[in-house]
Amino acid sequence: MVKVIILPNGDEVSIKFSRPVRLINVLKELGFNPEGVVALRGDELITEDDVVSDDDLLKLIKVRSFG
Amino acid sequence: MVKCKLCGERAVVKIRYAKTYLCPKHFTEFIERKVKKSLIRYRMVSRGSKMAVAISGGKDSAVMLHVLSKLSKDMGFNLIAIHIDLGIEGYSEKCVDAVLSLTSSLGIKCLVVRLKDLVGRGVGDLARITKRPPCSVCGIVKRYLINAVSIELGVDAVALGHNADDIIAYTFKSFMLQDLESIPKLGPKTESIDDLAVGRVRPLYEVYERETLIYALVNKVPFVQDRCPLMPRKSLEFKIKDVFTDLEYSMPGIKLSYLKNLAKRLSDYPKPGTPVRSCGVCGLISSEPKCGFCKLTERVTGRALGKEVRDRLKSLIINLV
Repeated sequence: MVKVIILPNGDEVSIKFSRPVRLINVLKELGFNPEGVVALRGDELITEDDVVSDDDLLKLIKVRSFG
Repeated sequence: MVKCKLCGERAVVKIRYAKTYLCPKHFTEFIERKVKKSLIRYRMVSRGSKMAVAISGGKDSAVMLHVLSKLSKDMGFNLIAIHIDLGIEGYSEKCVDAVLSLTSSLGIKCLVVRLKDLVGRGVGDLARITKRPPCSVCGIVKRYLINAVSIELGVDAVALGHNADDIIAYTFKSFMLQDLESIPKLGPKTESIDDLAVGRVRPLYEVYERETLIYALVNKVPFVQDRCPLMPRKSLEFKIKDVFTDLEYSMPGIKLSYLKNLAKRLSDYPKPGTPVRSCGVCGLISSEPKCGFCKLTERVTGRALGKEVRDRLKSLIINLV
């Protein structure tokens, strides 16, 4: 189960994949455009072409500012 | 693992329009080079000049100051930071902390101007009393104070942290509303008008909002990520940003093309119909006998405060220097 926290709101979602997939597949599944978010695995930034595994904890930060 | 196209280290970003992947070091250099090119291409700064940098505490202006701090050494110009504390409870305090953390780490002097000290109220109160949208009041206050401080500091230009996506959203909205006179004011640079207004520059003109966020994370630039509590959940600018984010995904580089072409055609847009004049109360730029800030403060306090505020700013600046 890939667990995803969406910032700045802090919403959490989990998605099940039967095998490792590229981040872009996760984003598509969640309805995000890769140009509109930045993704972190732990404290590391990853690209949309990095492969994520079933036990990964991801943070997605929406790019659009609110200040 | 995806690798940096330049060094083979682990990549942290894919830049679709440049068809490349970059590691933190090469991404940082890529952004700094991009800003330097804009400074030169749009003649935003010259050797020996003095630039004020308006910094809000958000990621864009924080990244702008971080990059300008590096480039200023190389290109030989001087910086001073300005922060307007808008008096928004539970939010402005965080902004001040982030700004002072950044400016002290960079060794850059920062002038903090507190709206409540100057007019007795924060932006939220001003909006409520005048029954105007908070963002509109905030715009009047920030534009006025940033210009007034910059005039008193005697700087050659003030740098604003608008990124590429902001400028597209504002100009596209102006076009949709056929407010064509506003568009030239949103270009990479506006000129100073003696004693009335300091010229504005936008060093992040060609830097995407996503790039400023990644730069801030990679370089651990302190910034406030919270949503401004006064900002509406929906706006036309947000919708336009979403549309252009989708367009950029399917047509990489379209935002850069838009901005480069806009910069070339700015002089073709109509100039404001009413001539620029000096406010009868405070003496700063206005299109009417009284400027927006003097009218706003008059409605709230019964007195137009522009002149008094300018005098207070002068003493703030003397204490800073």
